[in-house]
Amino acid sequence: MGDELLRVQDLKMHFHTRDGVVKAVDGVSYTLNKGETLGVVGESGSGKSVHALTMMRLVPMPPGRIVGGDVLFKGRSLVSMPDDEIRHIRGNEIAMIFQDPMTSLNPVYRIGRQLAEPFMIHKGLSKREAWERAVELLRLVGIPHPARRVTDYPHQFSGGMRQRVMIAMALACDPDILIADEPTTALDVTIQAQILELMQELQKRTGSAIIMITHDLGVVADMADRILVMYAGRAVEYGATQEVFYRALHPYTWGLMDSVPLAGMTEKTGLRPIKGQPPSLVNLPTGCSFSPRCPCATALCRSESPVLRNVRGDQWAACHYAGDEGFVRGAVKPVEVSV
Amino acid sequence: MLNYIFKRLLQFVPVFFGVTLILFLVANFMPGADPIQMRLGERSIDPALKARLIQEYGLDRPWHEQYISYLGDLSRGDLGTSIYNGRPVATIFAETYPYTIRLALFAIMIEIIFGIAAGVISAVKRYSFIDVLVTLSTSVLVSLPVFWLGLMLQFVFGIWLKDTTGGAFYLPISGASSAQFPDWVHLILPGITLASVSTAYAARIMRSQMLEVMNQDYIRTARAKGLSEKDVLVKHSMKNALIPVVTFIGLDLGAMFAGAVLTETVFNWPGVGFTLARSIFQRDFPVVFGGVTVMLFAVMIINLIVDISYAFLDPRIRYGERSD
Amino acid sequence: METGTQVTQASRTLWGDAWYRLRRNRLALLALVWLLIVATAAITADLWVARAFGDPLTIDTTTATARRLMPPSLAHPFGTDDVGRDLFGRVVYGARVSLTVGVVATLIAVLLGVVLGALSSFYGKWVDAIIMRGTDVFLAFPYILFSILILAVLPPEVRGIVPVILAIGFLGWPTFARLFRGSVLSVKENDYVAAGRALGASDLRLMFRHIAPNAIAPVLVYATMSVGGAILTEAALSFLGLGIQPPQVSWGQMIESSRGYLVTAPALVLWPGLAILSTVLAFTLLGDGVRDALDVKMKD
Repeated sequence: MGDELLRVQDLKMHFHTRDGVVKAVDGVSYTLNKGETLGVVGESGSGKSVHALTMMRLVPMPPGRIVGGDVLFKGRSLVSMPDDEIRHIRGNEIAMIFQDPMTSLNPVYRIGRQLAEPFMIHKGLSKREAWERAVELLRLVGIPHPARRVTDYPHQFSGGMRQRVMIAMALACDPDILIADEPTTALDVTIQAQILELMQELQKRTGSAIIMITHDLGVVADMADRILVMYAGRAVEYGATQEVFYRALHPYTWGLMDSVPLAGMTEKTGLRPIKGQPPSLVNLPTGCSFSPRCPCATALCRSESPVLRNVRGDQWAACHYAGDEGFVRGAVKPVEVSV
Repeated sequence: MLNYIFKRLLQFVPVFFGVTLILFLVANFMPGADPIQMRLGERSIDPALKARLIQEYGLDRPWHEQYISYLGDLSRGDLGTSIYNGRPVATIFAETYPYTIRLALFAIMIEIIFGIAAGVISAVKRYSFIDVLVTLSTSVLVSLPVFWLGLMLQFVFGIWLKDTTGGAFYLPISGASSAQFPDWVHLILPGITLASVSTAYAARIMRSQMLEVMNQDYIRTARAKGLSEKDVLVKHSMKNALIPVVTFIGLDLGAMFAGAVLTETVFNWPGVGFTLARSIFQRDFPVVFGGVTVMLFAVMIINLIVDISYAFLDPRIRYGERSD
Repeated sequence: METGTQVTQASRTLWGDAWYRLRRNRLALLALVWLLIVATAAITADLWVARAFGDPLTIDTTTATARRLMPPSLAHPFGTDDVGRDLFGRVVYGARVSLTVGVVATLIAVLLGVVLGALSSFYGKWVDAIIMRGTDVFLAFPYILFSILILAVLPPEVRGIVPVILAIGFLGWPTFARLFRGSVLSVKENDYVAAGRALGASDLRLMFRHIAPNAIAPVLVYATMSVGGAILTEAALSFLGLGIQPPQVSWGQMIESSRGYLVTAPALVLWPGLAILSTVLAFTLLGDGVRDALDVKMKD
């Protein structure tokens, strides 16, 4: 595809707390091209949301601190640019929508005013022009009677409608990248599908790249071009969606796939949640962070931390055994599983 | 919103009857208190005269009849007459109220300016030296006896620094303005005294509200949109944080209209609070009761107005999602 | 009963944690130490004050004029008052009245409030409606006006510490009732209460074993702060001449009686005021500490 838009290089965001250093993001790298959709997948606490907030410089610092790495957007470093420059990028070139639409809109301002703000800040439109654009945006995201609803307050909208408003607000300035942080998690299933459909439709129209952050592989299955799987602050697998889905390399990815209902799953295979809890980010286990929960872990896994390496073609994994003969999903006999 | 206002008005009804009933009961049926004495003062009365007076005042009627006629008097604005100088109680308070209102408005201004500013600054600069300073000084202010603060201010500015201030604050017996200084000079010390505790509370509430609001998701949304920190603070945080603070200040204004009994007494400020304290000393019961009644009505009415205006501040109430 | 032991265990660690956190809060600890000093001095006053500084409560007519308004010295750390009594000793005796009023009045308010709040939350419906409308009425009265009204009606010879305690105590209940009712209602939603009820525990048992221990935290926090508030109210009432009457001595009454000496002997006003300030501040800071230690969310 070419046309590189965003390059994340070994990004590290640590939080300095009383209980120790929380390594929320501890070395994440990938690139994102124009118009492409990247799915970032992981459990809560994997650092998937924090990495996005770090790029946008929305993590309060302190306690957060970027201890290493860089994010290049069109060749410019988001990490080191001055505040007023990043402010011009936020909401204008890179926009973001969040998990909980119920709390993400300001309760004391009308929807229209909140929608108009990006136009006024970034495009220098007058209040009146911005307001008119707000009405158009509402129509675009499928809100009925936009001219009337634009004067409503957030509490007069349902959750799904509010997420539509959030999407409208993010798309206001035709951003190059839309970061969606679990945009459907707080919504019920039918609304989830509608919102995803809307995002895909709008992406077709605007050509924005999307970074879709989710804990649900199902959400990104038919939307993402590439998938990044995160675990304990690090990328454990990265590659084209087809590859990751059908020829996953990392045992954690296998676990994720076993734990979500996907098309073609029979009752017999059923859902198998990954055993155990994600590790404490203050005291990561030595060796591979996933080793305590990995059914295939060996002595090597428990002593040495694997690095993300290109295993084949367009696919990377951080596992000592990735790509080995016979080390594929379903074929490996888990050593310790006794179900 | 009409629904909300109606509900508030409806809630006001039991409060009104409860408050008037308590006033009536304390005045007429409190153990150890003699209603005839309270109407006439401390003279010992000949029993025959007393019996006649009881009949004349209707004190032999059942209590609910007395209560109804008491409500009737209230509705006509009849609060009785002073034992001390025979003037109608209503007139006495009509004369003294302007002083109380003037002082209250001045104190509220101090409270709004310093309370909100201190709260915002200490929230924005959380854990900084200035935050610790604000937090500690508000703790001290809410622990101060108001009347003692007034006396200490008088001592420091009126006596100790008398020559430095040119006597501006010396014996601030106000109302009668001296030719030497403009009238408002006399407001300064009583104003600070009256505002002290509430300013501290306003600052504390503002601080905790700001901290809470700045943690909200919609603030993150505002930042993600590219708003400047100043706009995030002024436009998106302050309006939300101010709602409870404005409510507090409104209620506080009500309390100040109820007469700053202590502040006015310390400064001999001729408002309703001072009048009340003096009448207690003179055992002028009609004035005491009339004063408390007038003040209570002021408080109740202002509370009602604040409750209703809350609806205008918070769209969630205005457009009827939450009712309380 | 299984749920019972679980709850008591949970609450034991709750209090244990709270005590641990409180000990780490230096300001609160300092406040606690100061209050212990003041309380010890007040309780033991009869044993040492008169011996060390002369009787601070009675006027010795033979020496009154000679000893009046003496500056601070070793014999009289704060100096003497307008009739030759030791000011430090008077402040110590004032602590007795102020602390007694603060603590006893708060206890009355807590007791009334908790009982009414419990009734209100447990029986709901009309019981709740009546009690809650009652709190509306009482809260519509500014605290100080209400106590002024009640105390003003009393004949002067009846005035003193008991009516002050009763007035402050009986007026303080509504806030406690609302607090306790609110926390009971939220605790009641918890599963273990439903479990207890399903197992057939009686209302009283549920209240004492399961709900009260978990709902008491906000009451405790507010009570700590209220002691300071009650001391301030007592001082205000005494300042208006409605509270403690001489020869009894309280801090507010000391300020009232020496108000006229502001120009000539400001120390007479200064010391009792500082005593009030430091003691009330200590209760405020301790209350803040207890609130943080118990992790109670409260509006400021």
